[in-house]
Amino acid sequence: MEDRSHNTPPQAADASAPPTRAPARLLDRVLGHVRQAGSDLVSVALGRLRDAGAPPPAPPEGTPADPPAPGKAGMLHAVAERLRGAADAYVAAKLDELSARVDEKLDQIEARIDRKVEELHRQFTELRDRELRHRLRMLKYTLVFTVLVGVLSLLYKWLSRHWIA
Amino acid sequence: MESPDLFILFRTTLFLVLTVYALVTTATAGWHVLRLLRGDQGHQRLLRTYLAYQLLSVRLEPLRGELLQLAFWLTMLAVLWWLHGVV
Repeated sequence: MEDRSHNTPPQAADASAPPTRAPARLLDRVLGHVRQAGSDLVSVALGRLRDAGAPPPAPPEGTPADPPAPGKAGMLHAVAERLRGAADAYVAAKLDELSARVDEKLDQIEARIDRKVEELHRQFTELRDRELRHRLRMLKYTLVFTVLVGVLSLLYKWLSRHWIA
Repeated sequence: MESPDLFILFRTTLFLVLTVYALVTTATAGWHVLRLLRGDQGHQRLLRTYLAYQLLSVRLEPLRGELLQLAFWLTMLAVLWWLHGVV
């Protein structure tokens, strides 16, 4: 800078003295800010590296962690109670609906079982009557055969008594 | 010595064979039913109760025709038996 000021002519140096100092000061100020920012950045980084293993600073004593405001807490409590009541009512309604559906299903199953038992009883009664009728018919045929043999025996006895002898 | 009457022999043999057959068949069926029904388990008690109900609830009206025919043929058999004594 001094070289550049020495090379300039005197008239021009006198006339342009303030304009040549102002950029120099501005440049010095900018460089100073940059240096200050760099040193601040380095100090902050070193401080964070140093404080990395240390426990976090405790909150100051005498002050709660999150002091709720009294009006806000009451409003939150009221909203929570209202939500809880709505949830309880919803669950109770759903339980009633589920219970009603289960009862209806059980009634349907019971009715189906009753119909099935009644149908089985009717089928068994019909089967019993049919089997009984079949047995009686077989007994009747046996009796008819016995009577036929008896008639033959009577005829033979009568013939042997009155004709053959 | 008189020769045996073949018809009397046939009649007596038939009577004996049929009597033994009827006795054996009835005894076997009764033994099977008893073996099926005896016991103290729940389903056996239920089966006994249900069969007793079925026996007590038999209605004779649908079987009236068969029963009347049986009665007729039994009467005929009794008459023939009496006639064997008379002749």
